[in-house]
Amino acid sequence: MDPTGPVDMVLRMVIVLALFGWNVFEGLSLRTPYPATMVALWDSPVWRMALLLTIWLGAEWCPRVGIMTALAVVSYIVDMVQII
Amino acid sequence: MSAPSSPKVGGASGSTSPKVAGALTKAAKAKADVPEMDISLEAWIYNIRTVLHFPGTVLTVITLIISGAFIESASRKSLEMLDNVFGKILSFAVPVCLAYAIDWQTGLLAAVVALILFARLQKNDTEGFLNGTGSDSVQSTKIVQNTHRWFVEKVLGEMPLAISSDRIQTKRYDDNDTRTSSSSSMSSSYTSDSAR
Repeated sequence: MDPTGPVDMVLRMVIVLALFGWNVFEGLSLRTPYPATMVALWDSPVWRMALLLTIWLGAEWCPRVGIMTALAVVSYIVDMVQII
Repeated sequence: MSAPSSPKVGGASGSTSPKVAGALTKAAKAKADVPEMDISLEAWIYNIRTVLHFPGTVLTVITLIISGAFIESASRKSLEMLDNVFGKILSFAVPVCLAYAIDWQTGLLAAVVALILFARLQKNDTEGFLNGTGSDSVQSTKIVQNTHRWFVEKVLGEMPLAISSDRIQTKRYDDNDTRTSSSSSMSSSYTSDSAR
């Protein structure tokens, strides 16, 4: 679970911050529309499976990355289920 | 459990050769090195959990990913059995159990799938044949027994088994405004509409 080196540590921090920004400005705000590509990809089950797999892989890599990924994916899927 | 030092290990006759006796001594030493097997129930459970941990994790993750990806396209009727207190308790208990039994990553994935399930259950959509309980709807489901298909059905490759509604019930417009209902021409037009 601990970073294996400085590169790993920086990479984790960058991804956590990026996901935090995404969740604040995109996932938790209903006024911000999702990108058209993500809306179009919602119909594909492979895309949905890839999103769920990303949660598990992110959690295996780093707990903070996993939790942030889970929050982003849940926001996206719930919005898509409710809107489309 | 010390190994016998005498060369007469093999039997009562005393005719065992020193070579065989040495081998038997080695076997006895090896037997003494192996710890005694624990055959208690706790040990069995620990062994089974250790052996099945990896395949169990893989199978659980695959099942969760597939179910989470296809919840959105699943029919609401098949999910309605979870739309009660028991289903909600199960949705909370399963991630906790998976987190304890396997690892917290799998528990997190199960929690995400449970949240998607809740979101799917919150969405009210009508599908299939209508029940006809509303005052405006007419339930007239008819099973198609005629093998003849319409041109449109042939072109679109459809083979309908039943028709949910083959008639439309319309109602006249009830105008509660007293100013317009006094007109005789309007009332006559209502009559003609209702006669159709």
